Amino acid sequence: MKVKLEAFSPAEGIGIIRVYHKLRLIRPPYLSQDTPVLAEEALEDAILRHGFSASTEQFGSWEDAITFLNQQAVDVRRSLGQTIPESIMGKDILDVAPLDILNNFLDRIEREIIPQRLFDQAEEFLLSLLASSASTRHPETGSRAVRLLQRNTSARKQSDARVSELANRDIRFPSLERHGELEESVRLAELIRVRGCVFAPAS
Amino acid sequence: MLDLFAIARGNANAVHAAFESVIASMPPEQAALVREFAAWVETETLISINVKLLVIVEFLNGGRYQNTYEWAQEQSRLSGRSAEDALRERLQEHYEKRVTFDRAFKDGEQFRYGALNGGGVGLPEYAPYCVVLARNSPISLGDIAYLPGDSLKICFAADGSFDPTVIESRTAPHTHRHLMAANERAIEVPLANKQEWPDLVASSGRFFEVVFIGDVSLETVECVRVLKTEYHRMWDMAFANFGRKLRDAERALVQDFVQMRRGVIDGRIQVEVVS
Repeated sequence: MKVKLEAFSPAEGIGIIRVYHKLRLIRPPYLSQDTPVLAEEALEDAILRHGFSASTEQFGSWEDAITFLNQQAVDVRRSLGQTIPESIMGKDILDVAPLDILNNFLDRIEREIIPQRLFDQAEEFLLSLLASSASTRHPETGSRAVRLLQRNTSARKQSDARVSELANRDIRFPSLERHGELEESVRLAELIRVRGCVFAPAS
Repeated sequence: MLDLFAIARGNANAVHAAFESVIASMPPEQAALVREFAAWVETETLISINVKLLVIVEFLNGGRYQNTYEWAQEQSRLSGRSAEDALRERLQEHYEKRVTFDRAFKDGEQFRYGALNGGGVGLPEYAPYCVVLARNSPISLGDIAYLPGDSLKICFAADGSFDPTVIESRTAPHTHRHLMAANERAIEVPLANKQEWPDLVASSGRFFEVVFIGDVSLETVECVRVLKTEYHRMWDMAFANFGRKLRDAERALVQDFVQMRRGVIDGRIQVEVVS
């Protein structure tokens, strides 16, 4: 698949690419579901009205195009005397977040992040919130963060306990053992390893 | 060489006459609506420019809006190559069209291109932040011309040649912008409800272009409008910062967004989130 970069806005890492004859916008965070199709005349508008640079670059894959665009953001900002920080402090983000956004983030921690057992992510967010001015500007978010932190800790303990329980039980291939096929399975596994392929050669 | 602003000023009477002629040809109730629309354009619309987030950050850091030529000059200073080369490299096959238009006019390389804005986010596809200029911004009212569409479309013939006929006949000065807009949308106004009037002024692919000369900086900005979808897209990216290391371009944008939000909290800039 050829990805042709038709135009790009280097400082933002945004590109207009042509794939299978269609123009698409790609932009950070470069999600595959967020590549709107653009009208053909939009290309000229982007270049002549909105400061995009025309391009003739071609890439073998989306990932290569994204790597190029990402690097453009680094290079152009460096040439402007700006550095992109290696990391962004969570506190800095939450310091400037309005209440509706903080509530939205807390909802996601409660409904998505903790249930998905992404405990480190939840903890990082909640501790950042408690360290930020958000918890003093909006005390209710601080209280909710404390409750969620407790829930996260409790869920993490439960999860760790369950993992330990499983690790302590010998649950390796109980079904094969029960059916007396363990030795045959070991032989097959060795055969596949030596052959380097799951499939047997045709006879 | 053409003087765009002198042409616009010279068109004032013709624009007024064209408006009155259209009004006279309409049934009274429709004519009244078109007059009301014209009055609304005069009192409610402002000039807007769609920009990328980095431009807002540059405003907050004391910078000014750059047009293509000023950008090329800056590139020349930074890299040592000629501004013309930077311009050609950026525009490539579109170079001729851009410079043909701008260089046909006196001071054309100083032009800024905006759009008349009645409350929407302008043309946000590539430049999602709609900078609305303050009514009392220090832009000289004599250095503004209002066009009935995108200059790079309406001033070029099908064969690609420059054709300034539209400029010469339909461009309006600031004092007559509302009459020009009402005249251009006279058929649509009676069919639209008033909530749709901002869309009659500017919607995707159709707008009244405003060409002017003057500085655009934080001091001249009334507010910045951004679509709710874009606003939440940026917050989503900021939220992702808690789960993984963001790419450089993502961190750059999140950093810009945080700076813009800080400007909002400090009361230096007003951002309206528009559905």
